[in-house]
Amino acid sequence: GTALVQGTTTRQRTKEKVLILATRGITFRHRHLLLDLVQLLPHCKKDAKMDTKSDRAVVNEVADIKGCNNVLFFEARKHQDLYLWIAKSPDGPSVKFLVLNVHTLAELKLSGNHLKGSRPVLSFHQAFDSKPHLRLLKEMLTHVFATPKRHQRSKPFFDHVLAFSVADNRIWIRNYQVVTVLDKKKPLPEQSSLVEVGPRCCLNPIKIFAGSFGGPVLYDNPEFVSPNTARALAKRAKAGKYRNKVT
Amino acid sequence: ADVPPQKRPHIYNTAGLLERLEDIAWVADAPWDETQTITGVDPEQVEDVDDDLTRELSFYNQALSASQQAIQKFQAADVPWLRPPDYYAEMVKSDDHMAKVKQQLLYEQNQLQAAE
Repeated sequence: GTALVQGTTTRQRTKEKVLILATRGITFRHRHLLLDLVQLLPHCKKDAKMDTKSDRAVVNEVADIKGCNNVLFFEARKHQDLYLWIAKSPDGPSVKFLVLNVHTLAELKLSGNHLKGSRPVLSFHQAFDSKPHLRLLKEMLTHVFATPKRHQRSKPFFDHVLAFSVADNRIWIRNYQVVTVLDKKKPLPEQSSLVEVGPRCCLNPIKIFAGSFGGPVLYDNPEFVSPNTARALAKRAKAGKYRNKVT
Repeated sequence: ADVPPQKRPHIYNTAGLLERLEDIAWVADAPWDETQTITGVDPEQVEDVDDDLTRELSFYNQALSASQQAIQKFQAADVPWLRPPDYYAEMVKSDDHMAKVKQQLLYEQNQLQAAE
């Protein structure tokens, strides 16, 4: 369930905790992405892999046992496609994404680094305020990715920024280290620069459900083509090559 | 045998989305430092997402502007935010990994010089 704690104000607020888990059959790259996210979220709990075929309602049960009110659930298909569910547990809403363009912390070309557990600044593109489904996604992403203030495993310094952008109807996630320039021990914010740390990925929203892992569909992306269909179409386009040449 | 892919139904339940948003929302009512969220003001979106340079530059600029605004907020509120130079703690990438990153950078520089 949700643990209520006293905030800095007198208002009661919900404490966010995130459960991270995956189905069996995820590839090494996807597992690296998952572990990178565990590093970035001091307020998360990781659980053992789930059986793909088991009922998704089980995820809500696990979240309840672990005391988490947010879930990041990685669903692997055909040992190549990765889907990500972000859910508010147990009452929803939830959203299913296709994960694309994954790069992990292990890659050498991403040369930034930052403290483990420092609280990020979350940067959202203006478009997140423009449409109802993006407003909902912004709220859910904030619950998941904002490190709670004074979390026991967090560090009270600012050295990285998590960017959420919108392009081509998808959500692009980047994590940058903030490099601050000092003049006589005084920081100069105008001269600061960024170095990418990773991980990076692109989330293509497929559906938003009113409940947690189910319930009425509130949003369905009309432009979404499943990777299976995309592969079949590419194959068919290739198959016609010879026939078109001889006739 | 060319079957066009089945058209997906376009579902957009604005009332439902806003209702669920209201059910879970607390960020807007919380003090800024609870989430440290900064939303940009530039409505411009990347047009060609396959153009890596333009796309990454746009994300970079969005994040840079947000981090500068955040620093100004920290300074205005007089909160210490900068890590002291003598503060050592675990990083997300290990020293071993960072050594490899450095090696790779040096290697690339050498390759560039050799090509010139």
